[in-house]
Amino acid sequence: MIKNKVKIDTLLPFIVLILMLIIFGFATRGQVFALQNLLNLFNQSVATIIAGLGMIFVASMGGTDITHGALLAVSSALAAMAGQHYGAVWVFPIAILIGTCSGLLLGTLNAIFKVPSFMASLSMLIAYRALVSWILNSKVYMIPKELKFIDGDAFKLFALVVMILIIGYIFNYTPFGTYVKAIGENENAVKHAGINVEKVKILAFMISGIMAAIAGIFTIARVGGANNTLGMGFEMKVMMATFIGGVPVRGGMGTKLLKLIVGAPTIILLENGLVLCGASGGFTQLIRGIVLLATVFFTIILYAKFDSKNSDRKQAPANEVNS
Amino acid sequence: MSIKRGTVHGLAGENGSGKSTLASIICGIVKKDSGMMYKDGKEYNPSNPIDANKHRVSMVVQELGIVGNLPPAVNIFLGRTNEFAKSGIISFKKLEKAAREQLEKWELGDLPLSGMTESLSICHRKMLELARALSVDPDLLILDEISQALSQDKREILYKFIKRFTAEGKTIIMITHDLEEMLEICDTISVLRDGVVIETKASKDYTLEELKRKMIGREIAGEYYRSDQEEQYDDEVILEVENLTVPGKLENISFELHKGEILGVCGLSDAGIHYLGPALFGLEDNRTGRVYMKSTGKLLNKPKDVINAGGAYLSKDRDADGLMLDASIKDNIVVTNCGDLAGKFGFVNPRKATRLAKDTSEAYAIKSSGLNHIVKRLSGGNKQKVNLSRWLIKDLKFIILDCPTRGVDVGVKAYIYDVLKQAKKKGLGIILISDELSEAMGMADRILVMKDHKKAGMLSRNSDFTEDKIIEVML
Repeated sequence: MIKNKVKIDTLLPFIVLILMLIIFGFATRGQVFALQNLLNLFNQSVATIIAGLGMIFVASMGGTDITHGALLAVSSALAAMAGQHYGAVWVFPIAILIGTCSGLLLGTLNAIFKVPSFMASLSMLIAYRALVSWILNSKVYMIPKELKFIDGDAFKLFALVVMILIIGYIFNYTPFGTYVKAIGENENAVKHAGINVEKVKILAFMISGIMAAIAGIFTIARVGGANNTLGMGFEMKVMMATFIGGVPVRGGMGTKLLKLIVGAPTIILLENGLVLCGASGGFTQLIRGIVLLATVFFTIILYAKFDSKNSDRKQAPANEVNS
Repeated sequence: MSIKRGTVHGLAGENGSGKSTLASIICGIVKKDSGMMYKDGKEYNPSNPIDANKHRVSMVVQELGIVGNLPPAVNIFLGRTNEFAKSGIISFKKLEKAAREQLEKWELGDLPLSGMTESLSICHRKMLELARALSVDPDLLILDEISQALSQDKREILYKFIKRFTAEGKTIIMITHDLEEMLEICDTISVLRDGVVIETKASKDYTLEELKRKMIGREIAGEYYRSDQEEQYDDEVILEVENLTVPGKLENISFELHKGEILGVCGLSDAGIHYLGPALFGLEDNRTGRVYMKSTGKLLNKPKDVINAGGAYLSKDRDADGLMLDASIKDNIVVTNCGDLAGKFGFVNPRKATRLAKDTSEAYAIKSSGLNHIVKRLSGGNKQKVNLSRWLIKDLKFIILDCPTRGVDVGVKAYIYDVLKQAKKKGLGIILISDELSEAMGMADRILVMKDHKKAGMLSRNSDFTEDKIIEVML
């Protein structure tokens, strides 16, 4: 029974993805599967997955970080400026520095000053947006030509795999990864295990910030440069990717990297498929909302069902089920 | 089974034997599948707790069932605050007055009614719940594990109340793990095992041994507490505490913990014994005084220092402060040990982690369907085994235990005492903070008695361990 639970909740995101492929496969008469379109899907998923790789640390603590879109804009705008003025080598260090500082600030607000992460990141998002308009002043900063290679498909795939491996290692195979998930389960228990919860939290937000900044570089490499509207609504996309993959909204041990990696193409496919079907922008938004709600709802139902099944079974004498 | 009017009817049984479930059905929290209940000769089938209240049945549940962010008086009349409202606005004055009347009517002692409920101690909160259950004027009252959360003096109040209540021809169903208490208080006792009533007899026909045997269906092997009557520990001091002070909680506490010593800590409910654990563990920001390892002189100021020095602390509230209830046994065991498991680049080998969890679970005989069993679904005793074992498998020098046998049945209780005896033999220093005097007397080498947040005395197993002597110091 317990094995079943593990299966169902890891399988759910795959089921949703496959279901969507089938639906759109028929609705667009196979257009979705065209090579060019598949490549498109991949290209659009990359930034979402990268940002999600950072977000997952925060999500597993039961926190929220909605700075991603605005942070991506600030960091890549400044990085592109630095690139134009001082040379391409500065792009990555500047972006990552800004991402780190932003995460440090958000983490400190949340862990030390106890501001709920949603409110703290909402305020920062608003401030960042203002900052972007002020920095760019309606101008567009282009990414240095030397960095165009970042948008190459092979490089992107390679970079993505490396990042997934590194983050996967941190998330699944280190004490830090265990602690962030444990904080999502019961913060007090982690504190009583002698772990510096504040430090873990701040680190998690810093990783989230860094990954958002890296996602930013991949985004400007793709679109060419940074402007005022860069990354608008991006944070929502990342959140949807996380939760549509079946990551529990309250965080905890059920948070799996795989869920996010499947969730990101799902959400992109949904958009892409609807556009191919000729749906209007507004309608696409509506469907996205409904699908997200439905998946989260089914995740909860699944957990609840498993719960009641398990408590029925509790009647059996404990010795007999001792394995 | 039938329950006679004007009596105290005890329900005895191990964890998971169905006592709480039975009680929940009677008071309408859980619905029955089949069978019939009759009250006062009429069929009784409550659809929910409010319906049960209308039939004058109410219950104090085992888990704390109050809302922390509301004033105590509101909690007493929760769900019925409309009775105190005038055109939709609740009069808190009236509410508080009614609450006070309720407390006075049954002589439940004084409760601080100002402030929020969450600032009350567990002990006070339990009394509050009792007041709430009484506010519906029940003639059948169910008390599930109430006395375990109470200190000695509050228990006296409870016992007095029970006498008065039954003298008025009203009935009490009582669930408690403290069997001596049960034998003393109850008129009749029903023993449950695996959801079946094994036997119902007048309590004067039971002996303690017989009751225990009936509950677990076998003899408890060996003695329960320690059999020797002497202080036995190394001269080597592990932990030194000097003038430990936390404003409003602790004042100038000094003591030393020896290698292989069990140091009991006792006191009345407001003596502050439960502040000691968090203060020693470094969870209090504004503490003064020194806590350090004698051998190295290393100061223990933060939880991390305690853990690094080979210490551990188990809070009284294991669900809130210890376990991750929605996570598996394995996750709960790994979380306290993954720092030790981590190798190069912080690598925690998943196979090693599983191995460790498996070994721990087997060594401490945790009853479950496997390592992926969700901890929430374990019985209280097995939860505590998970909580305790994941610390004891580490190479510890000392451990601070706050009421480790709270809400645990006799079988597991005996097991925990056994584990403590073995740990003591291996040289572990144990600080055993306990609400049960008999537990501290049965297990400790020395007992630190606290009074008014201060150290009132240090008694030795050699000569001072009589109830009278200890209570004298407590008062």
